Amino acid sequence: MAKKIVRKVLLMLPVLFLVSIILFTLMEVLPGDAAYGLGSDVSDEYIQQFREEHGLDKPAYVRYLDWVTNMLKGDFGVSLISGLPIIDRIKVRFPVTLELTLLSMIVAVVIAIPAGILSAVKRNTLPDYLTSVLAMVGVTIPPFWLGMLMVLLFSITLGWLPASGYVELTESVSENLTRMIMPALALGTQFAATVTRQTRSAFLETLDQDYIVTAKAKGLPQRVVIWKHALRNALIPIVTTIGMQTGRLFGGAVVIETVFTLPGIGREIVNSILLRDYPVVMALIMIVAFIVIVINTLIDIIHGLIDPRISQSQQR
Amino acid sequence: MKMANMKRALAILLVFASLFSLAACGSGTNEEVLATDDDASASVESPATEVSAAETGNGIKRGGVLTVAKMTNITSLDPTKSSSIDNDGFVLAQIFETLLRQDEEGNIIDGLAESYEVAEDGLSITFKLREDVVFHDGEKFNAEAAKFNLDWYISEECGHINYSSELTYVDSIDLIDEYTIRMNMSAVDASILASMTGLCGYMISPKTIKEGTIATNPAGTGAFKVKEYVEGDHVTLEAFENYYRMGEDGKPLPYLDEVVIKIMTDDAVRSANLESGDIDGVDYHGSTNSILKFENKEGFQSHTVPSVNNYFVSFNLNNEVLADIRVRQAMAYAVDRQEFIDVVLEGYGTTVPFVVRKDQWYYSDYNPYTYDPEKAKELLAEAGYADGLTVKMYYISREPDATAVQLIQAQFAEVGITMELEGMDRLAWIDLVRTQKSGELGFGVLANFGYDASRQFNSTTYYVDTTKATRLTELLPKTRASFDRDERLKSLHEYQKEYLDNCYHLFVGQNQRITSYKDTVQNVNYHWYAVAKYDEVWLSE
Amino acid sequence: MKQETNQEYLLEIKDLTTAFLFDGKPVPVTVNVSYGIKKGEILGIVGESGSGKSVTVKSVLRLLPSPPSSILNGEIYFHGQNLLTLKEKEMQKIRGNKISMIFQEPMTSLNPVYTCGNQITETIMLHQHLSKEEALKKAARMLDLVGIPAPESRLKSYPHQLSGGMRQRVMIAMALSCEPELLIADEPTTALDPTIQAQIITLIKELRDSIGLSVMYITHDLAVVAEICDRVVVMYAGMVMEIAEIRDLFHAPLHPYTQGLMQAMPRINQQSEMLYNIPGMVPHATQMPTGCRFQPRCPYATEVCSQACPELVDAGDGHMVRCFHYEKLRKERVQNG
Repeated sequence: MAKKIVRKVLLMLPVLFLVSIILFTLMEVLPGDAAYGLGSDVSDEYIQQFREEHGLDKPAYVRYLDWVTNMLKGDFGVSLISGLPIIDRIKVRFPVTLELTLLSMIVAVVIAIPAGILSAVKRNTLPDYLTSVLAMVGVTIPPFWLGMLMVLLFSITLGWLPASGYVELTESVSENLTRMIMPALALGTQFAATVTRQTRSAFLETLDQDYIVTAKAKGLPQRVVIWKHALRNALIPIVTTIGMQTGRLFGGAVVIETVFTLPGIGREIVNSILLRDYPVVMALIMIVAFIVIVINTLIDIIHGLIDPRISQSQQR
Repeated sequence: MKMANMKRALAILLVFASLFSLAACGSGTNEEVLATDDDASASVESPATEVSAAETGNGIKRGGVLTVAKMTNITSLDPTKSSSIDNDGFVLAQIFETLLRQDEEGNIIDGLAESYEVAEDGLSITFKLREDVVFHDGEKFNAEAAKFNLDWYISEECGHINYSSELTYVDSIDLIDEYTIRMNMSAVDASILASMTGLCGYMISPKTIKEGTIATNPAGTGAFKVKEYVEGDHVTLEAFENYYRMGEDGKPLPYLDEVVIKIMTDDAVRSANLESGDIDGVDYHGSTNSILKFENKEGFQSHTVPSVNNYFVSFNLNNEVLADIRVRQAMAYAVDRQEFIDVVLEGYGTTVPFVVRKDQWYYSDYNPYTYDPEKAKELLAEAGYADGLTVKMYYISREPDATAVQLIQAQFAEVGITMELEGMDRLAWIDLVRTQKSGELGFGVLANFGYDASRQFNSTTYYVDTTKATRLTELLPKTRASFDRDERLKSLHEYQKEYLDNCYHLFVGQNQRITSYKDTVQNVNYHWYAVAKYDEVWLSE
Repeated sequence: MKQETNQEYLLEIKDLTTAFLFDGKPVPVTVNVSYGIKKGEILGIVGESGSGKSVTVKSVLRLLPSPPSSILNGEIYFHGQNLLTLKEKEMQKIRGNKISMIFQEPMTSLNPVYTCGNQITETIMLHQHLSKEEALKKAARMLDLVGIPAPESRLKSYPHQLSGGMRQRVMIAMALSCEPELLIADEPTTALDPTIQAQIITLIKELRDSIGLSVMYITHDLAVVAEICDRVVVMYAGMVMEIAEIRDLFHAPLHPYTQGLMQAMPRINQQSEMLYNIPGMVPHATQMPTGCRFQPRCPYATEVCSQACPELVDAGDGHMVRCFHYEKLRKERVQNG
């Protein structure tokens, strides 16, 4: 098992390397200059000086190598726009996005898996219809719109929750949660809907399997059949779905962070792209790529834990 | 099969139900149609207007936190890293102060310098500085500090090229006495005074310059100092206890305890936050929807912000079709500018011929072009395009640009010009039109925030291939070569004429920026570059 | 002919009629199925696919999902109780405990994510309330009983680590772990290859001999029936066509269908190259012919066969047959010798 984990970790490296090259090339190809990001009333001499100052006039491969070697040393460079070290930004903003994503996932999973199971077990009855319709609606509602609706209802009309802002967990857990609950729900809804549908179909498929009939034939009560025999098998595609959707959650975080004015890296990435603040974009995307790869590795490992067929076959 | 149909029906019902409930909730305020003047200058309040009525010393309450939203990202708290007065000024103006200031008419008045005197030959200016000012970090503001700042600005190490183009004629700074300096010029430059009211006039604590900590420990002389800065999210300012200006109660300004400036780039989000009370005001509204929403809303006050956007169509002079002046002029006659104001800006704007505001001292109504489609067709026929012409317009994918270009497309169609549209992101557009000077037509914006006449006119060359408009480059330095306003007016008007006669840009219209604050916010001042200053603000509850 | 519940039967199915939903309407797939199994006997239930044999036995343990299937009529008696009227909780006490079932596909009938030991002990602990250690010991004994070598280590194996034959043995061990009175085996060897098949069959016979297990053995393979069964029920198109002792069935079948099946069995000393096939096809549940269901394919069919459905009658010594013309068959056989 340990050897497998080590192997997977080592596999991450070439992937990260490839991502860095693609990322760098993409930024190169984008027309436009960071210098203009500051404002359109900049003079031409300013542009030239800016480029020299930030080494933007060096050839591409030189800049790429500089960047990679620095990153390996832990130096993510400085922002072209503000001149401040990017690592500070990361330290402050990353936990916000992480918290948002994790909360959304938790909310979603806690709602989605039982809902999906209910739907499958009570197939083609009222609870199933309701759940399926809600799931369909949840998948189609854009998180942005849902977020704005929530603000409209809970902040403006009812005045129960603040519409924006972030308070760190370390400062006050209750203040933090009052500000995170709407974003987590807005972001998590689409996720929950997808997981619900996936759970339902995985469960339906599992419930059709022969070993479920065997379990029933042994006299096991329904709840054991579902929670012991069906669940673990159904979890395999469900866990895969959750892993895949996590990447998209990060993407959705961008929009939600804008709606609720959260200081996370999602907003930061978009902003930096628009301003062509290359070092920031690249640093942040490498981090996100890293997280996604880590999550996928975790998913692999979880698969191995759930399904003995996988780990066994790899030992041979 | 029946089950699936039932599911579908339920789904559609649910979607409609939620849409209806949203519509019911959303339509709160009634939108009264505002009087749209052709001549919107009447509703433009002059820059120095104070936003509330409370002018008596009585009733001023101290304390409280003002929270406002800012539409664009803060580049840096270091003025030398900022090239945009418009964007960062909103924050910097609370922290730093300049040697001189401008009043609402664009006249240069005192700032950290109590008075200034231009020598007879115009080649030196003596500044007499205030004696009661301290920096946020405790350093004293005096002639030494001022000289240190200015020496640094013109030095190589500072590297803020913007300074160098504005300070291009500054030779050296002399220390006259403890509170007097003299700036020596290599040529007569009227704009230098305006420069001293802008980024180049900011006085920064020399200690932070020496230690290189300007961005991390900003220390100016303003009413507020920085308490906390989270890049890309917000900056929290707190009152500077040793501020030198006094309030009406004899104690130092500011009245507020803190100001929090939050960055919110999305207009709908800002509106929602203002409505819910999470913020007290915005720098300005980003869409007419928001303007209309808060115009007559109870609990809110709206005002005109003195900065404006000038919308223009640029021409690639290297394109053989557009190189023909008749084609450009035809296009200038083909645009119905009033329609642009009415439809795209929904009445919140005014038609002016150039980039100047009607209330500015150098405004001229010289305007060769009116809305005349017949003339346009004539010119096109003369140029050989009687059968029509196809051109491509590049624009930035945002509002109101996207709507504007569609309107122009329709207007051009009336005179036989087929215009294709292509949208792109902002920096890509700038790269195409400004850096590469290619493309065909471009739709862009030039902001005017009352800074300096010459600099304003300089911006009109950003998107023009000046190798094809050399007369402009000749005329530009002349506009700052004399301290005499009348002389400057002559050169400025000459420049405007040359520019418009040659139709280097087609100016479509000038907008009106409106902002809203809660009723409880009193005394927002706009006397500096159309950014709000909060040093005299107090909250009525 | 209706019977009262016969005391010599361990389990008796009476007039069972089950229906499935086709196009939203319930259509009977088994009609008036009646037969019983005696204690200590191996009862074979034979028929082609679609004959209703599997559906019937699944109804015993009420394993058919309730939509889309439903029981329209009938009783199933076990120890004097009608299983069809029991509550679910009571049924659970019977399943795996008094009556066990094994299935056709050993590859998929065991849960792939749990060890064999886990799956066996869960039944034991459920029904017999033994502790985990005791259950494990018992499970090992069961594995030994079904002839699995090194049973203690096998308990820790996962199903995918075992061959098909081993898995079926595990299934049997699991099914027998609570000492049931009746084992229902639904085509347990169909998916196995012949050598393994032979082993399983031998095992079942041994169990019948050693612990007096009663077995309902469902199959379509007459060769297997010949090996293992004491009595046989022949089903066709959802109805019982013939019930006979094994010798009688093979040497003197009374139903034209059974006769056809016998002819269709390949024999080692067969002369002809072509295998005999009963002409025609099994009708779909929604398109059952009127009268006798076999009549369209029956060489002995007459007009009466399409007008009325024959009853299941006793042709002598408990040999039951559902045919108007069974006497004719009997006479023919005697003539042909």
